[in-house]
Amino acid sequence: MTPFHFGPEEAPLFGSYAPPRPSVARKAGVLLCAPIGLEYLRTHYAIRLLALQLADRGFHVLRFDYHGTGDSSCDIGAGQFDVWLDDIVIAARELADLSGVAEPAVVGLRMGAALALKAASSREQKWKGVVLWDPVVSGHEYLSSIAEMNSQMAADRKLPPRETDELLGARYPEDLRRAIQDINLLNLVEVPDVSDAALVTSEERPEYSALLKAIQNRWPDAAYRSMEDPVNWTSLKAAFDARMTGPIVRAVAEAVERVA
Amino acid sequence: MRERVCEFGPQLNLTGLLTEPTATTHPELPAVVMLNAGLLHRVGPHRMSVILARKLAEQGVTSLRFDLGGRGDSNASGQAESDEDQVQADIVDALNYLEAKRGFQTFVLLGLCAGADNAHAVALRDPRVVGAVFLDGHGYWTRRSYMEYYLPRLARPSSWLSFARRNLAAQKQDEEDVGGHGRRKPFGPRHQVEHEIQSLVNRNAQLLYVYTGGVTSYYNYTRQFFDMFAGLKPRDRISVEYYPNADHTYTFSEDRERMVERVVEWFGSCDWSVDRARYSSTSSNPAVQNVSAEHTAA
Repeated sequence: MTPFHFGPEEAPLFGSYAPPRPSVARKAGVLLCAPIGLEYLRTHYAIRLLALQLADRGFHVLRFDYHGTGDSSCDIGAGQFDVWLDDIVIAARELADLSGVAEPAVVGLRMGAALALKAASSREQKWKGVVLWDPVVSGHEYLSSIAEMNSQMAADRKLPPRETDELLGARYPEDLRRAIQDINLLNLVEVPDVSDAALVTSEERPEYSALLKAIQNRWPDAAYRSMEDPVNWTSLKAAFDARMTGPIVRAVAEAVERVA
Repeated sequence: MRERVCEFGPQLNLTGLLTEPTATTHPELPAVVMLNAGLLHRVGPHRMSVILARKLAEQGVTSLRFDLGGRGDSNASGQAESDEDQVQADIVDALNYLEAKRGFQTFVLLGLCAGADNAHAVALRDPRVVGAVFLDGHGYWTRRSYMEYYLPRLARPSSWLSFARRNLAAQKQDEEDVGGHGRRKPFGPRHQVEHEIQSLVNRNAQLLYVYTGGVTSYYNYTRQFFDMFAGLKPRDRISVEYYPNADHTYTFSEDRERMVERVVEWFGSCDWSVDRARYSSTSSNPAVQNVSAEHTAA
């Protein structure tokens, strides 16, 4: 793994590149798109594990922090959703420079899945294949659930009411909320220029069944795996729980092998 | 402000971010080293360490936030016999890196929760540590802390049983209390910890203890620190804050900013020049010439 900064000099992004294991190296790259907010923190280790597993399987892998998250520059501000879409394009270009692979596959975890698909539709970012990992299917439901968790946390801890646009420790300015609110993954899978897709989930859920149907309409051979190891994304108690190791990371790596 | 990715440690296995002031670095000031909060990676809960590092840099202070081996982006070296030894060895490697690469001779450690425990342990063993910030660090029951905790709960019958148990335990606490109630790992006997803090005070270390409403089960009023450790003297190098409205991970930015501002203000108010003169460089120590690599931002 090589951690480094890349992107605009005045506002660098932090990333970590994992080169392929030489004996099995292939001409294929994978960009990992992380979740946002508290879920970013919670999944950092799982994404690192995935990067290592993919590199071990011969892929060039880049994971990175969006602007205003992790070790990257800036704070969350106006137009943040568009900034994140631009970040994905910048990261894909960086991966191309590092690997010589022009068209990488992408793994999107939670909100990262929506961002990866949106980057394809609105930024003409080309993906060889996409793996959607426990994706946020409805932006509206996502916002509702974190708002509910936020209220619950404030009540549990008897915290006084605050005038803030924060949810669970991260800022969600009005325009970011609107952009998230508009997300419907069932529509986003209608992206052009993506040759294959896979869905990997930690459990069966009604929204995943509907999503699978939409995915298989778009890509008839799309793979689906459900691990029956629920992560409890909407549970405050589990919010700092470092789940998603072992089997589901392997399942995502196998899905990448199919689509990349 | 500029940030560099750095890799150090015996096998270049430790990864961190060095945040430096844009103008010139000030090796006459201590460098701040931020430790992992439990298993969370180096950015800290809600980017707490990133925000603090950048604020400190604005005030001319260099800091390093890094991942201990096996956490975040760092690999475990597997060299030490126990996890505890490894953690302490990794932190000492971070100090060695800053000394070898940037010429810092003195350091301030900062940690939240388990990070505070680790800061305490390394401060005791490494004289280059001239200050430390403990966020929700050591805490022990006092008579008043029982009252503060239980009085608002007296209407609940289940609390009575728990209150009685704690009161019984309180009678023995001087001999047996290991503190940190509700924490995964006890702090150790109170008299021993008091003795350890006294040893830091004796060598003129500057100490800032900040407690939040997230640990009311063991700390719940401002003056509790000096009730817990009544024998500590002198007290002028110990600062204590209690933020009852903040939660343990400083979820709300208002609380984070308050804590960050306090740490920056505290750092600026300390006279570090006295301490620097006391500690001679350890750069003759081969361990300080450790292996490292840096990548400048963009």
